[in-house]
Amino acid sequence: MGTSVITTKKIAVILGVVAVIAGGVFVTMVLQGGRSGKVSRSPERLVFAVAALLDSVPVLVAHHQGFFVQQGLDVEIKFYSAGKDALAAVRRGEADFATVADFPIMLAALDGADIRVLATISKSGRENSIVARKDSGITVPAHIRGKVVGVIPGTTSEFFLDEFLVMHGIPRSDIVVVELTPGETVNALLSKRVDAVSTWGQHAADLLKGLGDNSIRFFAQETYQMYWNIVASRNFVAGHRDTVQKVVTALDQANSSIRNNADGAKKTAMEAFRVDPAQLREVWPDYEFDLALDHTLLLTLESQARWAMKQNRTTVREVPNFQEFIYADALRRIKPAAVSVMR
Amino acid sequence: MSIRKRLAVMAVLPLGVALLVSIYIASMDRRLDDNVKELQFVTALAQDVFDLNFLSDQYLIYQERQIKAQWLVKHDAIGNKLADKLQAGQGNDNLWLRLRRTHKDMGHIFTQLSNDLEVRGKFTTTGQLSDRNERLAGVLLIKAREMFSTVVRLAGSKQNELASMRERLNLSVIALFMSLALVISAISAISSRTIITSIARLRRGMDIVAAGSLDHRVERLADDELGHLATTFNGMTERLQSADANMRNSVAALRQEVAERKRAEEKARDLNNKLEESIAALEKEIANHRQTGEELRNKERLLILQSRQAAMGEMIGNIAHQWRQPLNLLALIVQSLPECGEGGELRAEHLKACTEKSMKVIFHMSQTIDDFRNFFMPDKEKVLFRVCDAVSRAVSIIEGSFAGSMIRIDTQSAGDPVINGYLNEFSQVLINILLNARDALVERNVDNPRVTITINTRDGKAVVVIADNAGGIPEEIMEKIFDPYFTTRGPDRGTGVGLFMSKTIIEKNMNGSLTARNVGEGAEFRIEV
Repeated sequence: MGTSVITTKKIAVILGVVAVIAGGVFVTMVLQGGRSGKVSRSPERLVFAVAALLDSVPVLVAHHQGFFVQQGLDVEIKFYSAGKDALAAVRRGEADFATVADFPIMLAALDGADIRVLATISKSGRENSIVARKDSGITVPAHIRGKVVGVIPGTTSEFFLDEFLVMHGIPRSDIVVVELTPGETVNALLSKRVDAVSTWGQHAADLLKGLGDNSIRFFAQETYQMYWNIVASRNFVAGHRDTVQKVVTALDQANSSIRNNADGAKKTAMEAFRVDPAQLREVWPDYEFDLALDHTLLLTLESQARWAMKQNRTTVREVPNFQEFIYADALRRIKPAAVSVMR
Repeated sequence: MSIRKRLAVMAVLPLGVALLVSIYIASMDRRLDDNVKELQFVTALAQDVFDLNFLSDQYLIYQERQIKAQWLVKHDAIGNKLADKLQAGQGNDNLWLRLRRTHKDMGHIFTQLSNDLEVRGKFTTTGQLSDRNERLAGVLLIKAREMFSTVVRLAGSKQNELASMRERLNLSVIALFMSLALVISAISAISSRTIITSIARLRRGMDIVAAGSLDHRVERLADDELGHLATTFNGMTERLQSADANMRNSVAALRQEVAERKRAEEKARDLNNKLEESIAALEKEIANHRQTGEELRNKERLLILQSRQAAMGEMIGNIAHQWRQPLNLLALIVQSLPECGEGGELRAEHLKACTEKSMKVIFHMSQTIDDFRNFFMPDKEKVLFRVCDAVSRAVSIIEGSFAGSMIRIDTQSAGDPVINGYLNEFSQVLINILLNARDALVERNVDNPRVTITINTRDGKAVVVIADNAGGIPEEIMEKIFDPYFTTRGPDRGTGVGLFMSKTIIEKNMNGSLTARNVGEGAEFRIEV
């Protein structure tokens, strides 16, 4: 009996030691395995071309809160005044990713660009607007007729102005369109070089602030909702699927962080864009930060392509199959319900 | 915790956990039902959105009023559902907000589109109208698609949530049962280990105690039945140790006692040996003494014989002294007979008178012989006798010799004491003392020799004091006069046993005392009985 008790105790001790060692080895392997992709290799350097709009906040949050680093990415942020410019940087190979709206993507596609949309990171129906001077006699949309309107060509500004005119039955020939750069819109309107401008975000805010009561703003949120997207070149996506996956994952984490910690995201936005806090609080609800790939993006792109062809903005006579410009695998892998693009 | 309680816990724990699991499953089931209902609602909503999209397409193709009416009814129905959802406090997340916004946008766009189609005269150019309608139709389709996508996402989200809840439920149940199994296993293992350890310690303690180490105590065990058993066992061992110590002490005491007894036995044996040796020596001594005693007795017998012979000589002398006068009387009678015959005076009466007279003298002489013979016969039993009588008898025996030596005997009596003893021996003592006085008086040729015998009583004892005027006993021999064979006279006249025998008779046979001292003109012997 005494011997059996001792034997049982010995067996229990041995099993315990074996279990502890096995557990330790397992945990070590798991930890090392988990870290191997992150730590054992040096971080992958990426350049992100970011348009300086609040729509791009998810990228900034992912960068500032270390979600890129957690994915083993060393991301360099390069700011551009418009998504069109950020996309151009990608097309030139100066950046790996870009934040850009639907309209520049459509134009790039018509231009034969080899790009892929990886995900929509935010949507907003009030990002674009027409800001006008009241002293130019503009108090309702119909007053635009016969006025000089500034527009930023190749951007949603251009499409939005057309949408606005169509919806309000104003022929384009009834207005004088002046092409401006994003930075010129503010001075152009303040100096009364134009009576109104089709612009976005911070420029609109600066104009409202500069004109004060002399300003009026028109939206077209019911008919136009801007999709703010992440784009990379086709070749990059084909050669860096893991990297793309990590970027999309980091952006999804950033979007979750924005929903759970809006104040943190606002702080990041204020630091990045020098936005007035009161203004930021006012416009923040206009943005819907949700990582998705909705089929409506394709419908929007197709609609814009038809418009572009009708406006003779392209030599292409056939609406492209924008499905070929969508890369949904990365998002589908981490968030399948967010992908509703038809295949 | 006691083993009984532990077993009770192990028995009750599964019931408790089963109850918790049941409550949890019921709760989760209710939530699952809620989610299923919500999923059903979203699915129905998706069907409505699909129908609305179908009606949108139909209207864009045919542009008929009844389709518009159907579209508006369906749009209102969806709006009502969304409103109900909002009132129910649900649908505040982004997808529901987007759904409501898109629904609202669709309504506006459809209204604008239908109005445009119905009031064509509003627009200045057909081209403009066509552009606007095309744009509105496109937006309507986009909104419809967006709405459908949103509903699908909602449905997917609900499905995922439902699946997640089911998975969580399953995992929770599994985890709970695994936890229960682990807890029970842990309790069982701990309890078993505790019990086995306790039993092993008890067993080891018992083995050690059984091997004789009564100072061993079982280590402190758990606070359970085995712990109590260990405490009891320790108490029992303690009592056993105490009893053992007592027994050991008893055994040691017994051993010591046995050793002491052995030593005593050895001593006794030694003593016995010594005693035997002493006895042997004593026996030898006794034998020697016997031999000596025999010799002494022989000597005593010889002395007694000598003494008796001397006494007999004395007696014969006394008889002769007693007989001298009767013999002279008898001679005179006999001598008178011839004279009487010659004188003719011899007659019968005279003869008869002479004969009677002679016979009287002869009887007196015979009586004298009997007296002497009886005097020298030893007494056999103690008798009461008067001291004065004993003194008279002794004096009567020796008075002849004293008279011959012209020694006067004065007897003074103050009372008439009585003694219970041996009369003849007492008289013999008196004679011995008187004869010694006579011899001393004769030897020292004392003038007016005399012996005074005083009889009186003191302290209830009879006292006889015999004093002479012979000059006393020399002091240097005073202590030796009662020793046997001590005499101041030559061997031809004294045996040296007279006073020794006298002291023996008075002190040993009659429990009295015989002492001597010098007083006045001579020695004084004092007999107290």
